[in-house]
Amino acid sequence: MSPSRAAALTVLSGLLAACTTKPITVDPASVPLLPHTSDAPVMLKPAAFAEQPSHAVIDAAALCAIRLADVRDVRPDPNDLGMMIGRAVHASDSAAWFRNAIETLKQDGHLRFVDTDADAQLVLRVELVKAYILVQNTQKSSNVVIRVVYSKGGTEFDTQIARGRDEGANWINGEDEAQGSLNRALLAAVGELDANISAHCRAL
Amino acid sequence: MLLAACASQPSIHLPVSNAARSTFESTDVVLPIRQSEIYVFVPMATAGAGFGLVGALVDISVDSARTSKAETAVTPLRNAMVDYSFDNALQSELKGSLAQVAWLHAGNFGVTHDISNDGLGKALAASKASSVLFVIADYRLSNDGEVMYVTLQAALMPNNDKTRALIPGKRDDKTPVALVNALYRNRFIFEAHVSGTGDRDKNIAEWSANNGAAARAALTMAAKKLVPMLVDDVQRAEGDIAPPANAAQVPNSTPSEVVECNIAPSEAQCGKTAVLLSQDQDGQVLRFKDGSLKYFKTGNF
Repeated sequence: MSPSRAAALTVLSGLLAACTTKPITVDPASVPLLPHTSDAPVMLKPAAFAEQPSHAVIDAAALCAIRLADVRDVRPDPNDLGMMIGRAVHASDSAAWFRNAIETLKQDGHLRFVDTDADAQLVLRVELVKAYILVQNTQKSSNVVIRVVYSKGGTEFDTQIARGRDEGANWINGEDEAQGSLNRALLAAVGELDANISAHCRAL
Repeated sequence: MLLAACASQPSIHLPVSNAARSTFESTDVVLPIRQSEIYVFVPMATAGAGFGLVGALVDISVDSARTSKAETAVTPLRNAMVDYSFDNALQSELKGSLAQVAWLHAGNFGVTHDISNDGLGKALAASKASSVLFVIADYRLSNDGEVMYVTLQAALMPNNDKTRALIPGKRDDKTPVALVNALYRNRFIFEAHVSGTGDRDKNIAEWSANNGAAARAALTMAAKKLVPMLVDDVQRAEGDIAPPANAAQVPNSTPSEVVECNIAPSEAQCGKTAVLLSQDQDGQVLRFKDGSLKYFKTGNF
């Protein structure tokens, strides 16, 4: 390696945190809510409903009635969120982290969340099956996989997975980077889940 | 990374001494596996070498594009294998096979995804056994998606005064899980191919077809082939560090990504020749001059 490149990499990875090995803990409350600037319903996936009228005139009774029967982290080691270089990444409460992200579905103005199976057009069992960050070379990548089981009238009729990813440079191998990347992957997975739910609603 | 290969590199293979075999009262088995899913190996960009900070930033940007493409390419395979657990496959093989090594007294088995020295140090400290066998696993596809590699790094760590007294040579008191402290260590590689098309997406599609059938079969085969090799190797005679220098050699395939051999330097990964120890209906067992071992799956999945 040339001296100039070595110097450059030294600068960059000097930043790599003086090689701290302190574990990283992801705060369950760190999942940002999607922008929500008015009382009007927010459409997470506007394209999925492009044929529908604007949210201002949506009839509540026409909204797709959803019941979230179960939201769980089913991974063998629930708080494990992978590794940055030499640093284990954990969630202090992965179930809460996951639930907070799933709560953002309630910002989809086309869904109406209900409390009983009888009131629901679709009953969902939502599981977190993968959530991790991995580093290769100078890059970090996060993956979050959600499995959803759909029921209608007491009968399960479909299972889908939704995957969210985030990739980017691993600048300082830091806590905020890990948390941000995992949160983006989680919200991307929830966004895909939302699109999947919308598709099921349209098919009802 | 674990069993940290920093300062001076200890030998790849260290057989268990005769003295140690009568000393183990109990052994816990820990499988550190940093990944939750398969990944594609991405060679580090080096085109910016010689251009200082700007060159390094260019390389980061190249790495970024390559990683993003690799992650996109491997996603269909990951989705096809969401319900498959290599952790379970490997743990199950180890549980079944290590019972054959009576003097090891293998007891508790566990998987951890924290492969930092701190994390493994904690696992060692938490164990009440006289020794802990770490079997660190990694599984991935080559950058072109044609080859599946599974790597096991085994290291038997002492965990009480009696077993620590058996550490050969200078010990590392600062990092209890340092490889130099191992009473046994070796590296094992499994290599399997699909019929290469020269196109990563097509190669990965072969691994992914039929709900990831080929990848599942390859990973399960890796566990089934490598664990018996480990079990045999841990019982190898004290002086049997490597094959005789004059033993007949057969050629070994090496990764097309040369850079890989800079960061994972065992002969089983990058050696050009090896001794053919045995072969079965699926492939060959190769032993290298540093004592490392490889199972080469012949034919394609």
